Formats: sequence, structure tokens, C-alpha cells
Amino acid sequence: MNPGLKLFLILIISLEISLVPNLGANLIIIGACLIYLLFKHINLKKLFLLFIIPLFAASVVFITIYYFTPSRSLYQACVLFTRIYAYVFLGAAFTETTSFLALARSLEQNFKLPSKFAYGTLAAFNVIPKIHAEVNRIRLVGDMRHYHLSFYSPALYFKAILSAVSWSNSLADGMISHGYREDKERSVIVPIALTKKDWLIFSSIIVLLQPILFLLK
Amino acid sequence: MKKLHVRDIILIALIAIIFGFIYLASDGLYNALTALLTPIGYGMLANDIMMGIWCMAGPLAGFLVRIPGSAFLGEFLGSCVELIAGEQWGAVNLISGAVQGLGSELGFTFTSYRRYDWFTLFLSATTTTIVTYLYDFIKNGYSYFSTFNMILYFVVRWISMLLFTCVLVKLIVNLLEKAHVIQTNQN
Amino acid sequence: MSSKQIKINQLSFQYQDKLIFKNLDFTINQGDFALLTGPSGCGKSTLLKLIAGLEPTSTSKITTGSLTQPFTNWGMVFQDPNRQFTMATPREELIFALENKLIDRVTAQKIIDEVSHKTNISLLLDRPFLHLSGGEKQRVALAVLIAMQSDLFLLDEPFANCDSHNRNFLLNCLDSLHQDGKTILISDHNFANYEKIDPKVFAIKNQRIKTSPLPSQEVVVTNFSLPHTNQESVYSFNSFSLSFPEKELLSSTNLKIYSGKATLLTGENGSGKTSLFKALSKVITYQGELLFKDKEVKNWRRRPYLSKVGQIFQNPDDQFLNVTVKEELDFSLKYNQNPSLNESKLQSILTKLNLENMDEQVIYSLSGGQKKKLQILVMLMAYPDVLLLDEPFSGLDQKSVSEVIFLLKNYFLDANHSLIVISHQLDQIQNLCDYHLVLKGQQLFYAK
Repeated sequence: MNPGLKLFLILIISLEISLVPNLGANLIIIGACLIYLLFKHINLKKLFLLFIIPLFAASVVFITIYYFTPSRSLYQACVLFTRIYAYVFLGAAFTETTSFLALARSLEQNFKLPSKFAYGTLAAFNVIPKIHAEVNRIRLVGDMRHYHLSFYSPALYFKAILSAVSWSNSLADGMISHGYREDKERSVIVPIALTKKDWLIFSSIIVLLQPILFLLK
Repeated sequence: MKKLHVRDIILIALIAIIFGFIYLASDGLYNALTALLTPIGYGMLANDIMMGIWCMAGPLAGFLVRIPGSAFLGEFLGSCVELIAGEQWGAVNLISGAVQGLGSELGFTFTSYRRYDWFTLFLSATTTTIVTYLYDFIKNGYSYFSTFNMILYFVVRWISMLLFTCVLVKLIVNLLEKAHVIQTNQN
Repeated sequence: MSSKQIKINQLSFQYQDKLIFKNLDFTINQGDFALLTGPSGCGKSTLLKLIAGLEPTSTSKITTGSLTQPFTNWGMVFQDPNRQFTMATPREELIFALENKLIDRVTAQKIIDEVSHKTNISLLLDRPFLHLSGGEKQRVALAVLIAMQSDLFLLDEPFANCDSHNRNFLLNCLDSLHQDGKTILISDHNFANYEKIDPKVFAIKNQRIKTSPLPSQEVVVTNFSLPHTNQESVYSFNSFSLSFPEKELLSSTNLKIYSGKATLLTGENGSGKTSLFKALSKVITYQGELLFKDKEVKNWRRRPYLSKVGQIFQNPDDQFLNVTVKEELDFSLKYNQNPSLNESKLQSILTKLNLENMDEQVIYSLSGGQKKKLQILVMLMAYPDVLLLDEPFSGLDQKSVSEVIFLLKNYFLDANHSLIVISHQLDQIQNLCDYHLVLKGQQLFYAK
């Protein structure tokens, strides 16, 4: 399915289940995502992690709602518990089957996102490990000067932002020197298809979701 | 009207990434708080206590790149980081990212992108508190709480926002202004 | 076709309030191969960026004169190979650049095949940049410019992170581009292998530029003694090895670094000196055994270890944590561990280094030399047992180099305090260092 459209679908579903508490709908969504992921040959270790990762957060919510609210409703606690699982499975249905590059290209080509957003963000994201090393180096310097920098130290953020400014200038210069101009037209060498079939799947799922959400008890 | 250039977008994205890393470093604290508070029924409060750290990128980007939309982008791109990192929550967190971004941006909008001082940060911290709280009210089940807890969660979140997105951000901004990184007469 | 010409006429340029160039005058003709030389910090990068149109920015301006640059199809290779790519792999980057140039899909494939053959990157096309060496990245950077059919190539110290193999390969590529009629402008501080290209050489000095003959590569002969093995050591390497993803940097090494001594570490670009420093500062992991004070480095806890092992980074900005000179010095005094550097002593040193009365000045706006001296001072006050220095003399004139050496010998080196120094500037190094370690062909050994 087209990456951009798939993202919108996931977001619409997530938003709807945030607004409408419905246990059955949550379970159906989790099940559908599970089938989709298995169909896409997700590896079993990852699948296992999908069940483990949200357990902590989901349990905290369950415990708080079930034991510590005036209504102590089991149904509501279960809705919130499964809601968190539904988010994670919806998220995985997207991230496990789509690359960010394909998404960026799709948003640029199919949904008219200005190229500066697509490639500006990509340029930053592709140096994440370098930026991570940079933040660690700032901490290293602190320790070498007998001063430990923590998440509440303004100096840590200050130095990190200085380095972000310098990186952003270099990366932007790099883009310009590779021929990029933000207001110029670009050709398409790797086209991302957006077909009638994509739209059909998208609209059928949305249409199917509504009775499940609003009528299923 | 001034608009965002690709250089600004890269800078905002990098700030979002950096704040993400620093936030991750405080993750242990979050888990410890949650584990500690759950038995007395306040496990979900850890989220509100830490909320301010999560929302620092927006106001900072808004101060650094004084163009409408930059505060929103700072928060929103933060959630995109998780998406590209292939985190399972990623796609869904785009919504929370957008909600937080909207909250941050409103503070700057209310001062017409003219005032860059304590007041704007205070306003932005407050609008972020209100907007994110409303979202969690529906999404995270805060609506089921007793009235006392509803108020408590709101106040705790507000205090966290004021500490991090107002006080700490202002301290960072002061350093940046002193080092001439933020030009007060930016063009 | 009329010949194009880059013409710089009486150009003065300033960055913030600092004058970088004064009445610069020079011309580059289409088809020229020009080599820019000059000490670090003299403005080579700035000049290339001016020609590219990447300067002036909002913080800099041309105050007098003019610059005419008729090439629209220019491309630039930057000094830091990590900061010039938008995409994650060479193939994606080539596609990005070709899309910018409005090339269609079929032609693009042809171009990519052709340039990757020419620059020998066919096997690298789908590997992430994060796993490529500095030299490999620079080959990709050049490939991108060739693919874009640039007619003006600007290269800013492109070999700073290249080993000699990649350097020679790239120089040959540039030579053949030059023969195809391309205009090439490169800055470099190593002049080996330029003879056969016979470039026009421009030297930048004191805000001016003038033509000069190709400088001969100076060879400084060092003559160090080899260490006696029965001294006290601070580090011992036992079957120690280091690797970068998919490439071995250092194969099994057994040796010691001695306590109270200053040890020089040399090796060509890209040989792994910086990686060795990273292993010594616990930033990257190693294989085998590395003992610091008879305890495995892996078993040292991070914070206590880093209070004993400090580093002077190549870029001085990395060392500072504050905004003004005064704040930085006050910070250092607050955590000062060095008994021979008290407040009054510090004042007299600052005067000697011409750093007095700079209290409220923003550190990041100091000159390169001032930053370097301040940086070293700050780490002397931190007073670790071992200080790692990464190119401490770059951008310093001879007088400043001797000042720095004086500081290190008088306020740091003693029986319990050791130095390891990476430097390619060897003029005065024998006044500082006792021993000489060489990193060559994945081997680390003592040499004369």
C-alpha cells in the first residue's frame, strides 16, 4: 500500500479509538494488525517484543483505573489496557512494513509536501548516530572537567544546541552543493505509486471501522 | 511573511533529536517513579511529572527560529524521530507530537510572534498544559478520575511544564543569547 | 564558447566583527587547477564558500570590492566527510542530486553506473554512510559532483580524513577531470603528489592572498630514544585490537605507555589515531586487554575514570561549557585540581599568553589560537593523570607553540602525569615529547 496513505489510515484509526472507548473494536484492531504483520512475515522475536514492550505502561494504566478511580470499572480499565496495545500494533503495522525514505518520497510526490520538509528532516535524521555521539561527547567533556552534566543542566542543552546550529549549517550547505534549491522543481527517479486500489483499500477499511466502533457492544 | 527555510527545518529537527536523546537519558527516572507510585494509585502521575521534559523542544525551537510554525515543528519532529527510529509507538506518537506542538505553538501565537520573553514562555507552558491535558483526558482515561485527582494531575503537569519548558528553557535561551546564537534582531 | 572567469576584485570580508580578508585580488580562469594554501584558520574554507555563494550569511558580510562567479553548475566537497550528505547511502545521495538536476530515470541509472565505476564506489553504493571510512565518503562526494556534471569543483581540505591510498586515488580523479577541461579549486596543507598536476598555487596569509610556487613538502626528521621497558607504565596493551565496522584498525598489540612521560603518536590520516584516543577515553570498545593503572579499562567506572583521563579535543569549541572567558575560568578554578595553578598564578599565565582582560568576551568569538591556549589551560586545571592531546598545535604560530609546550612542561608533566600527543606538526615536538609511537599498517610500535 502507498506509504503516505497507509500512515493517514493508521493515524485516523488511532485518533478514532482515542475518542471512542470500545473494547471489542480495540481487540478487532489488534487482531487485524496481528494478521497483517504475520502476513508480512514479521520475525517472531519482534512479535514477542510487541507483546512485552507495552505491558508496563498498559498495566500501570489498568491498575490505576481499576483500583484507584471512583467507578472502579473493569470494562474501562480493559478498554484503556487494550487501547495501548492497539496503538503499538497499529504503529508496528506501519513501521515494520514501510521505510521512512519511502514515506518521505510518497509525501513529496503524492501529497505535495514541500521538498524542504521531506529532505530537511531526512538530512537531520540520517545523522542521528553522529548527533548522539556529539551529545555523549559533551557529557564526556563535563566528566573530564569534574562536572557531571545531567538532563536538567542548561549547559548540556546549550552546548548541544551550538552543535546543532553548526551541523544544520553544514548539512544545508551540503544540500545546496549537491544541487538542491528549495523552490526549484525536482525530477522523480524513484516513483512511488498511488493507485486506485490503494484508495479502495483505504476507504473500505475506514467505512468498515465505523460500525465496529459505534455499533459493536 | 517570513517562512521556514531548509536550514531552519534541519536545525529544528536536530534540536528535536537532541532533546529526544537527553529525554531518553532520564528514562530510568521515569520508570522508577512509575514503579514507586503505582502501588499508591498514582503510577500514571509519573507521566505528568515528566511531561515538561518531553515538551522542551517546542518552545526552544520557537525561540531559536522566530517564525510561525517552528514551535509546532520542534515538537512534531520529535515524534517523527521515533517513527524513523522504527519504534513501534512511532506512527501513533505523531498524534501526541502534533497535540504537544499545537500547545507550544499557541503560546507564541497569542503573543503574535512579537514578544520573546518570560511571558511568552509562561503562556506557552500553560497552553501546552491545557491542550495536552485535554487530549489525555480523553485518551488516557483521566476522565474516570475523582475530581480531586483530575485537578491534582493538572496542577502537577502544569508545575512540570513551568519548571522545564519555562524556567529551564529560559536558562538555556539566556546562554544562547549571551553567546549571540540567538540574534535578537533576526531577519 | 567564451571562457568563464572567477574574478575577485579588492574584496574585503568580515565575519561578525572580525576582518577575514582585506582587499583580496585574484582571478581563476576556466580550466585552471588552483591550490589554496595557508595555516589553519586563515580563511581557506571561507574563500571557497564565498566562491560557492554559501557566504556571506546573516552573520558575515562583504564590506568592499566585488566577486564575479559565472559558474552556475558548481559543486563542493567539504572537509568533514560526515556533514555533507542528505541521504543514508551513496546510491540514495546520487539519486537525490540527480533529481535536483532534473535528470530522468533512465539517464540517471546510466550516470550512476558510470560515475561509480570512475570513482570506484560500485561496491559501496548500498552501504550506509555510517559504515564508510572518511576516504570512501570523500570518493562518494566527488562521485556526486561528477554525476551532476559540475564544471567548477570546489574542494575544502578534502583529504583531512583520507588515508594515502584514497588521497592518491582522488588526486588522480581530479587530474583527469582537469584534463577534461573542468575548473578545480582545492585547499590542502599537504603538497605531496601535486607536482605532475602543476597547479596554480595561491597562499593566504594575514588576510591577503598571493601566488606562490608549489611549496616543497617539508620533512622533519625526528630522533627519539626507545623506551626502557622496566619503567612504570600507565597503560598496558595486551593482545589489544581495535576495529571499525568491517575494517581492522589495529591488530593485536602488546606494549606499554609510560608514566610521567610525553609520548608522541603519529600515523597518516585515517590510520586510526583518533579511534585509539576514543578507546582510551572509553567512548568505543576494544578487543583484548587494556590496563590503566593495572586495572582493565572496561572495569573502570566511567566517571572516576574520566576524572583521571582527560582529552584536549582538536576543535577547541568542544572543550568549553560556558559562554564567556571569565565564566570558563571561574568554572575551572572552582573545580581546580592542579596545586601549581592557583588564582594569582593563573593571572600571570594569562598575561603571558596575551589572554588578560578578556573577561566578558564570548569564547566562541576568540581567534583559533586564543581558544587553543585557553582550552589547554582549562584542562591543566582539571589535572587528569593522563592527558590526551589531539593536534594541539594546529592553527598556532611558532611562538604560541612554544608557549603551549612551556605550559605543559611546567604545570603538568611530572612523575605521575603523562601526555599522549597526536600531532603532525613536528617542528618543536622534541622539546615536549620523550617517546614516539607510530601507527602504521594496523601496527602500533615505538620508533625513533
